[in-house]
Amino acid sequence: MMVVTNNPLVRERLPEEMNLLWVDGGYEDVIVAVRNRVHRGHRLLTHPLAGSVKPYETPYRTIFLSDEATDLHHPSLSVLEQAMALLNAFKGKAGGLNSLRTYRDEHLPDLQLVDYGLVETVIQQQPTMHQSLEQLLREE
Amino acid sequence: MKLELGKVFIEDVQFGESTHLDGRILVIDHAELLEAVSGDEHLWKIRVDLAHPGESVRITPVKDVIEPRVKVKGHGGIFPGMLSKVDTVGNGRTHAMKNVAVVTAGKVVGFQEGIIDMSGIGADYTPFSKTHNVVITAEPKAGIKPHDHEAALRTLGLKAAAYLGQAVKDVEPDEIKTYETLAPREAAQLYPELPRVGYVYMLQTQGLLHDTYVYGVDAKKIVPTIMYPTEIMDGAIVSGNCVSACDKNPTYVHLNNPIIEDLYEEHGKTLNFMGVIITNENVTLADKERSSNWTAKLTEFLGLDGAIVSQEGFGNPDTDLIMNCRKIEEKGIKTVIVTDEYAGRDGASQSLADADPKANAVITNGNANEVIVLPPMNRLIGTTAYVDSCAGGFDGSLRSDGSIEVEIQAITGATNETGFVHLSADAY
Amino acid sequence: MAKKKVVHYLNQFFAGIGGEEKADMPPELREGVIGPGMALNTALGEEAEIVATIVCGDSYFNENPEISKQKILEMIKPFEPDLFLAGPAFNAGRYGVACATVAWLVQEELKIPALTGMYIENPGADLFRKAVYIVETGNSAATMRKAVPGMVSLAKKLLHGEPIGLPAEEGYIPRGIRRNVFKEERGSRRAVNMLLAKLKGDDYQTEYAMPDFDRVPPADAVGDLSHLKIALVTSGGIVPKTNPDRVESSSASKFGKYSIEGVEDLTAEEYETAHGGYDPVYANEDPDRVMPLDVLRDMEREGIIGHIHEFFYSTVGNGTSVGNSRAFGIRIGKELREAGVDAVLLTST
Repeated sequence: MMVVTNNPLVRERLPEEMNLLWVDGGYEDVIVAVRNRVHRGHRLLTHPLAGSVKPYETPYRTIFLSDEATDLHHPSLSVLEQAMALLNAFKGKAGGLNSLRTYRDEHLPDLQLVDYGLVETVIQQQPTMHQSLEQLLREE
Repeated sequence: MKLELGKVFIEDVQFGESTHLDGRILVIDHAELLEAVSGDEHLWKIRVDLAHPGESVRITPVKDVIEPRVKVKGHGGIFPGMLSKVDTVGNGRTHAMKNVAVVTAGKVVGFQEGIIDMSGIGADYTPFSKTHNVVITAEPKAGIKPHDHEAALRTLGLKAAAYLGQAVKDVEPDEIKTYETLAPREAAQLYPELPRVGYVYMLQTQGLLHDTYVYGVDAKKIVPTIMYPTEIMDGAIVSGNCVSACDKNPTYVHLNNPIIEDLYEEHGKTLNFMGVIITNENVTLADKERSSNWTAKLTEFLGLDGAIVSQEGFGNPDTDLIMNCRKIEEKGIKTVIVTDEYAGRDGASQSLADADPKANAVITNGNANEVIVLPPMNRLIGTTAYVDSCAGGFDGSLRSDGSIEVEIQAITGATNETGFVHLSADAY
Repeated sequence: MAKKKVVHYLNQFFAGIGGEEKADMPPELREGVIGPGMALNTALGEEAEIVATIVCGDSYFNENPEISKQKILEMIKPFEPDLFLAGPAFNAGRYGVACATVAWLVQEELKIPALTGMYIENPGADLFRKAVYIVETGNSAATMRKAVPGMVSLAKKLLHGEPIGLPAEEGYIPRGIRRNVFKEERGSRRAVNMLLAKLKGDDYQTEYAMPDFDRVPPADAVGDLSHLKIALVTSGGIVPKTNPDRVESSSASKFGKYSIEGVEDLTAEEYETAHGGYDPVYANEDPDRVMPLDVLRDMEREGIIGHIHEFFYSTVGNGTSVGNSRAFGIRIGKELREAGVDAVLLTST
């Protein structure tokens, strides 16, 4: 399982055996990094949008991909493109998510925690689950 | 399973000597209420305030809203698995204190949610401006983790609602409604000529501040299952969801789920209401696939002709909603989905994060991005220190005169996706 | 009270200057009212009058969009109009695109309310329905009399800054703008009602229409190509030099069918593109870049594909209406099927 994140807390708490892809950037950069890998045949294991958190409410995002790359996985691409369309819709005429930003710098540690909290179960299940998670999607 | 729901209509709430009902006035013993809810090691400085409809009061950040209820007859107690034992509830008799709500408020993490204005334009957008609110705020002790803080606040609210509910236990209700759902075989025989209809109830279950509990079980750990609707009226489903104030389901909405009420209203007349399928909204796509496969399977298992599917939350759950809709339709079962929109401030953007041509019957509860200006209020319960950072708030939204420019997504219950309110959106 | 000022836009045809042969006329300013402007002006009555009319050839506008836009804006500005009207364009594709483009520009750049009218399948409607008010009209100029009252009634509302109602009430093509409203019944009750209607098979109106899914599911992979007959079809406008069938550079009303029997390579000497919607330099240098006959001939020789169909089909997808495109597709498909073609390589631009 490949973990694409820009959240320092996820990086810190991620078990060593998991494949980390660190993104030095914002929410959209994570989505773009994931898209690029989906284009190369990796599959989305988690939904690109975070819980009910809007893309302008947090700078952090963590998304899980399959380690294995095969042919382009259309369901993954489709979910991702929908998420990107929504992201772009939120940018509006100003052209950036920043114009809608709702958080302050002092909240960054909390936002890291919320992002981590949304993927915590996936990380914890990892020793028993990650194989099957990838297999589940592969056998579609 | 049969539940008599007795409603006691309250006209005012006051502090006084002992907690009791004085005619239609709820009198609350302040000290006793504090005593009843305290005891959590994580919280201190617990405060109780009252807010009445029409008053110039703003409550924020709101965490949960709960209706006081009490079990009078039948198995178990209110909020099973949370406050009471895990007996199966939903039968016998329950009393509900109408026009009163417990509101918990306070900061859990940096980004904060939920405004209830008791008057002004904001009051039109929240259903909880019409209730007499008993607002409980509490400070976390130093070093408490957000998980524990959220759990402590959640329990505090449930305890307060259960405590106040006791006041209507021995009161003759103003109105008694009987709700009955039979087991599928008998139910199908009861009205063989009517279409069999079910309700697919999606629960937000993604992790920290995004959780919902069923009989005390964290619902992200369940596979979809079937419930009698009356179980939910007894508090079998409890909110731990703090994110997306406008379209999360506070515990109050679970207790008074309007889709369940309105399906019962037609039960035996135009349709045969067979029961509720609860399902979750997951993080992984494999879990989403599994849960939606199960909901579709259960609609078939119940022999349904039609189903209403309601969503909770924004974005990621759109995918669960569309998967549920598509798979249920593929079973040949007619569906209506209930959602809200994020179409941007100008209303011109794509409204949902997912779509499917099979979703051809949609109820919308409005565009959550609509901007309104909330006028200043004379009294504030909680703090506006987080208004800039609440969902839908944005830089500079708190003006110097105390008015707030926000998207309605900051308002508790504004676009609730069970159709609890009257807001909708038209295409221009 | 002084009458409010309106500027009107027309193409060369409706201005009475001429047909296709005059379609390359650059924008011109005419004082007063011309052609359909008369009826609009009369209907505007005491409240407003058309003070000037801008006329521009359809081809000129489509082929010189930047200059046209700039000139037209410069012509409108000095009048400081209270409203801008364009068309109606009915089902004229290039005219519709021009009307909607100019209306949008006036609205965005000059901050003046603008309005146009056209048939719902006009490509201009598809491109600009979200951005500007487009009154829905019939598909030909014969419906002018019906179109005028609708346009004028919406025009008056825009002139007075009155709130604009729902598309069905006002007669404009839905823009897809979502606006909140409190409904009589709560959402749950509406959901129950909708489900009952759906179960009975009665009509019901969804409150949120899913995006338009005019999608064709991709066909299954054909697998082994070595025994199949493959045809080439393009909307990139590749035609034999001098464009013998005069396939239009935009808003195509036809497609061409050409033999490539014995042709190994599409050379710059013998082929070109008729397309007016993209820079043709690279396509004209080597038309294989749009429709790769050279590579397919190699594959034919190597036995990767069976053989290439004797004819290729070509049209232009530049402002061509959905209706025309659909009709072309059906006719081409039928001919290919009759010719025993197994698979088609469809290239765009």
